[in-house]
Amino acid sequence: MIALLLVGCSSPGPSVAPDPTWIDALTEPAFAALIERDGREGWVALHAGRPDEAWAAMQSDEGRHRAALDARLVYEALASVHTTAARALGEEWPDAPPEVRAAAAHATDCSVAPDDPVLAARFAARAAPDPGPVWTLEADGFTRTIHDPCAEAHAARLWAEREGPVEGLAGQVFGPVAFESGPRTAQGARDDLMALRRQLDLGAAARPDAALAEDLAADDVAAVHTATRLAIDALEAGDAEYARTLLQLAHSGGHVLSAQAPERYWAALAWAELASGNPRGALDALAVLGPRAAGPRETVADLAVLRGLSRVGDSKEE
Amino acid sequence: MRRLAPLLLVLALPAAGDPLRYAEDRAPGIVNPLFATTMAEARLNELVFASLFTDDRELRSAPAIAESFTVAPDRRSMRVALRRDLKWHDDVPLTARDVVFTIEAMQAEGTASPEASRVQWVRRAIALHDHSLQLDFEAPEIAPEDKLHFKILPAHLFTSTTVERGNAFRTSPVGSGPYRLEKFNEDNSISMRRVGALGPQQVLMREVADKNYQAKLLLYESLEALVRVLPRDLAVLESDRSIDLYPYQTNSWWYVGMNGANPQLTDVRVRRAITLMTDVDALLKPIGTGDRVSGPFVPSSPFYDHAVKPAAYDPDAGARLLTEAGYTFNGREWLGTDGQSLTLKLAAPASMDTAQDVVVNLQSQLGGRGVKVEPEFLPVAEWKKRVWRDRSFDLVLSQWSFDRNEDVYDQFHSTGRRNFTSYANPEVDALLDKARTTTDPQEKKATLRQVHAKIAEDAPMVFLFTLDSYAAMSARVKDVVVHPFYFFTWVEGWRLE
Repeated sequence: MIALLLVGCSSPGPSVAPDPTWIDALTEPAFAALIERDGREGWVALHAGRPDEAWAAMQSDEGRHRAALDARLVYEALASVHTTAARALGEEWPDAPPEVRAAAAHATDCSVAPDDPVLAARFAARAAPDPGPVWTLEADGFTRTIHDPCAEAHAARLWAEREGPVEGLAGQVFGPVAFESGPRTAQGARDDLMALRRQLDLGAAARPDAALAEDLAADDVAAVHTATRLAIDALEAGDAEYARTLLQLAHSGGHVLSAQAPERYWAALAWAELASGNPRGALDALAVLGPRAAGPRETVADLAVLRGLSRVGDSKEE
Repeated sequence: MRRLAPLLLVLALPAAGDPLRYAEDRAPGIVNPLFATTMAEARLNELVFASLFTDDRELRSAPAIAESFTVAPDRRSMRVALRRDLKWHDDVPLTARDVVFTIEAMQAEGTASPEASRVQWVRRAIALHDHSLQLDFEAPEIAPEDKLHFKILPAHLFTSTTVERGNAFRTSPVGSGPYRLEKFNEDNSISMRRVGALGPQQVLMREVADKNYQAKLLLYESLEALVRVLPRDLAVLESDRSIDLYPYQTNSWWYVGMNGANPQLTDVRVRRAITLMTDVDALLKPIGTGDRVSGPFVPSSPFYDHAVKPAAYDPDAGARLLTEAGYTFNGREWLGTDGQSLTLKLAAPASMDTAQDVVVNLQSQLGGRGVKVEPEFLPVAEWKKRVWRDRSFDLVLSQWSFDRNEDVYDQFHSTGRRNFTSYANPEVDALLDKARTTTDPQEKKATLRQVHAKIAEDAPMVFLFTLDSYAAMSARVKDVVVHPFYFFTWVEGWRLE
């Protein structure tokens, strides 16, 4: 078939109109005023997807409130990963040690004091997130470590306590943009992402001064935050395949933390992989988050190993 | 940020029913699952052949050729009922005899299948009727269906369970999978046609060794899928809105293997010296981005021992180790006690342009330190013969890809079928055996972390890096979900528009 086509203008998906976003405000005095008020360092860290660093650097209450909000969202996603994995580990491991079962029981509701005395003491005493294991047990020729599956939920609550009012641009910049999603299928995720990018392209085309937005990769930042928000909504509704596809397609810059792939993105991707039945895939995402994800990483690793115990692995030369 | 390209093009677009065309760096050397050693072969086998069980979309074992199964109360045997509506692509009914034949052929010493370890746990397979069979196990099994994912072969096309690599089946394979292999084409491509009602009507595998050219073919709509895109080619694909990029991490790592049967390489000091003289970051930089690895697992693996750091580039320390090992540097090269130069032949696959970049770079690095490297770029058939069968090499550059179980037994156990570097360490053997039999995931994790550390210490390979890699897919291919290892497992859910 011979076809005449205009590349980039024939994509399917819901029709969209340009949406005024925080990106258009980057060149306005309001953004310069934020930087002036809070110092450059805080907003650089927030742009780079490292909200707890941003919180430490922000010089106004409102700047800190915004950073606390973003940090809470990271820990909430990590909490979902850890509690999901801990519950699955307790349920699927027939001969699980009592400590693993206790952790699994606690993971069912992190807001309630656990029955296990060791976990209960931690629950009562902790004032700051502790990434270390709760139990380090000498077993038959190896050391068993078991983490508190609620440590990240607790960290999220601590960040929530630091939140407060945040108005206008300070609450929007380097975050998601308004977008109406379509069906929550794998194909729906592709169509949504294409439509989202088209929406952002239209905004970019209408922008008289795009230099700063381009330097800050603002459209990419908005796309990945929007995709992450949509994916988390989908995960909470049980639509894991949509969430995983959307997040996989939203970023292709390698396994590194960046403005285009912030902490919340990796935490959400880990959750999506886990919810799709692929704890090993979740580990690839958690690895990017470093020591703060040590607990979820070990618990998810145990689950990945458990699910492979009865399998014979396959390997090939590439 | 992806940008709209207001570019008016006249292109030849495939009509409905045209094939889904995908590229491999090198065409499968053999289309027979008994002898599959490469990812290209595994991906093709996924299209042409079927297994008793397969992964569902949540990676749980789901019946494929099997219809149902029961495991005996003592968990030492199982009975499997087969679907009754299945036929081979030559219209012969698929029966329990085919399953029994496949297991026996994989196990036959004379076959020497690199897949043999996948059925070592089966003590005996018996066809009870046309559509039911019994499997007896060597030891109790928790979930035997998880191990029955190997591809089934048609017994009626073989005369014996001892199958030779050169068996005619390799050129006229008959499967029972979603696609029938129609033709090996003169340009090394392979044409396949859909058997059932779901999935793209045709699939065409094209061999394109040049990764950059692969990307261009996708951009100009002469391909619909690339299974592996290197980071250096990503930018050009990212800018095209008609292409989607999927992470395709298969737990892969690159290495320079050292032949343990070579007298020059039996001394661990020599192997460590070569490791220290290799600037791995400089090998990685020209071909992409990724992470260094310090042993046989990737850093995100449950089995990676993070206390083991990748070897630092320290050629002076390497030189000291060679001196300790009895070598003398004469200003140009290292001479052994017998006066022979330390000269090593390095084998690499001819069809991988990326491998050629690494080889030339490595030759320059080691040559600059007096270790002569003579590269040999081997075609697929020669590679299988020299490396896999005859183990005739000093150094070998290659890349292992693992499924999510990351089982390195075959690569590093002294009896492993993929251990062509002849690595042998009784302690590692014992740990690998323990890792295979334990039912405690935390014990397995700890045991394989020990394996990681011990193998790193023995330095049977220069462990290089894991590359960030992506699969690229035309937006014309709809409803795509890619299997994390076999890629095409769920192809019947895809549509080509």
